[in-house]
Amino acid sequence: MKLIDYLKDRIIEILMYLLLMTFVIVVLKIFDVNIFLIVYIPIFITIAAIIVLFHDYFRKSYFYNELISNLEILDKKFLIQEMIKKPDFLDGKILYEIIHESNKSMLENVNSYRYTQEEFREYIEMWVHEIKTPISSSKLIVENNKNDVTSNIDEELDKIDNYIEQVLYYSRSDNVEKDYTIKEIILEQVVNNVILKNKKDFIYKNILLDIKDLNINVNSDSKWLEYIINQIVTNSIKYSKQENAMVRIYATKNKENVQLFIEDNGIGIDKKDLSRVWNKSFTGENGRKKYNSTGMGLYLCKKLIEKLGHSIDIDSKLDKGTIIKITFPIGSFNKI
Amino acid sequence: MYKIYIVEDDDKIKNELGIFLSKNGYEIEKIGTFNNVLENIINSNSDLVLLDINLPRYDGYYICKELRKVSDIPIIIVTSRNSEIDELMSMNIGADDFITKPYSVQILLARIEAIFKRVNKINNNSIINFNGIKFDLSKSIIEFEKETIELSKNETKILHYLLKNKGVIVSREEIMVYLWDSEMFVDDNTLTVNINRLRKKLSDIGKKDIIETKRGQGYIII
Repeated sequence: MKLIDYLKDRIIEILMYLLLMTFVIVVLKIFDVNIFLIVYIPIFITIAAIIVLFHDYFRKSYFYNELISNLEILDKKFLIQEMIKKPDFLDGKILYEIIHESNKSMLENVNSYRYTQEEFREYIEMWVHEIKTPISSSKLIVENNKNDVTSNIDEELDKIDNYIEQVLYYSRSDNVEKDYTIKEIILEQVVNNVILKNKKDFIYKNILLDIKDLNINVNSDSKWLEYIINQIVTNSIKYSKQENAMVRIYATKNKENVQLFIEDNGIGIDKKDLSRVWNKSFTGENGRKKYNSTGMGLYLCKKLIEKLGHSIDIDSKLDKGTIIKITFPIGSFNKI
Repeated sequence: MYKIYIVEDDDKIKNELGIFLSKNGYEIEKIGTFNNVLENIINSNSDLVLLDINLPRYDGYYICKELRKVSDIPIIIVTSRNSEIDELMSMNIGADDFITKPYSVQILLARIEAIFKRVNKINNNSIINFNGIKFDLSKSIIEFEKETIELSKNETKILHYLLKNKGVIVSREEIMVYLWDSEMFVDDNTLTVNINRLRKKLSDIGKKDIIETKRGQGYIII
């Protein structure tokens, strides 16, 4: 609050005062009062008026300037209410009450959205578990009646199951609460589960599998990690070439971290697409060409990996292959 | 013959699982009503329990805990809840294994077999006699007229699978899937090597041409 702005705001009062003073001087003159009084009465009154004006200016400017500077440093502007001291002048008090009330109502509003979202998330969790029962029984029926038709259906059931897992992890990835459990796990076990899940693709598409050096412990959530690695391995299978396809999985233990590499000799990713593969809904050249791609897989991988406190990197050469690296830091940070 | 008790509230899963497990040589008893789950399990005299978590009345965790107080029967928890916490909880209350729906039945079978192997060191079904040959699964040995020879882990698995499907042509892929289920990720070349060695060992004990090749289809033991 600048003084000049304040004075401009008070312009009517100031003009009225000057008018009144002129009037008083004129009246005193008419009645031919002692010259001493004609000079000093207006001076005293003016001094008093200036004191009143400045007192008002300083307490208001103190309040508003503090408010504005607080607002500027705040990251979340709506928290300003927490930082106001209740002012001692009327219009400030009114403003204070208004901010207070509107903040309360906004909080209620936000809470109701949060509640709705949380309810929806719980519903999704429940729904995912419910739908697994009919999928399980369908898979059992297929197993008990094995032929070409049912085997075909079985493949589709696996796809449905994958999409359902995606919904589950998508809803988990956005959750503010921590619903994973970090403990010491062996990479080999997680990788083996993923391989088992995809064994038919490896065997029937004749993709060479090379796994080694995986007997290393890392701190992670085995279920989440399994989901993430499965995404990457299914990508390697999906974008493999017809001839001499290969997937290589190995890990290295370094001083500060453990790194897991998943390497393939598939069709690779164009350089211009590479930096955007982690973006939501990004499908790129490969996705457009012939493969059905949702652009969700890698986006979710990155999100989940970051939640777990690991990191993920990609490198790829078109027509040569892709290599994905997951880094697990070692240290107190990642321990439970 | 081992007996497996199925605790599952979904009728279709219960029945199909029953059919599948009986096909694979297990005796089955399924839960009827959920009034006295604990008593029913104990009275059934089963060797293993497949326990679902979401059940009417008491949930699977409770049943598992109570069952552990009175019996050390192996328990496999089968559930659609797949978080780390659920798995930890299952293990803490004394379950022997934990498997999530939808599961691959082959993996379920492998887990069941693993538990039986662990519980009973002496396996009654571990000796198979075929075409005059004695095949001891637990020792990985084949024997014919006083000649014995030891088999590798892969060779044992392959021979066992061919015998399970005696008289039926088995494709190379099927054998590979079977091996992979036991986390032995052999590739095409390794399989060829394994089969050749197995054949050589069979002919070493004097039984040549037990495994026949069907061109473009696979292998068969008649």
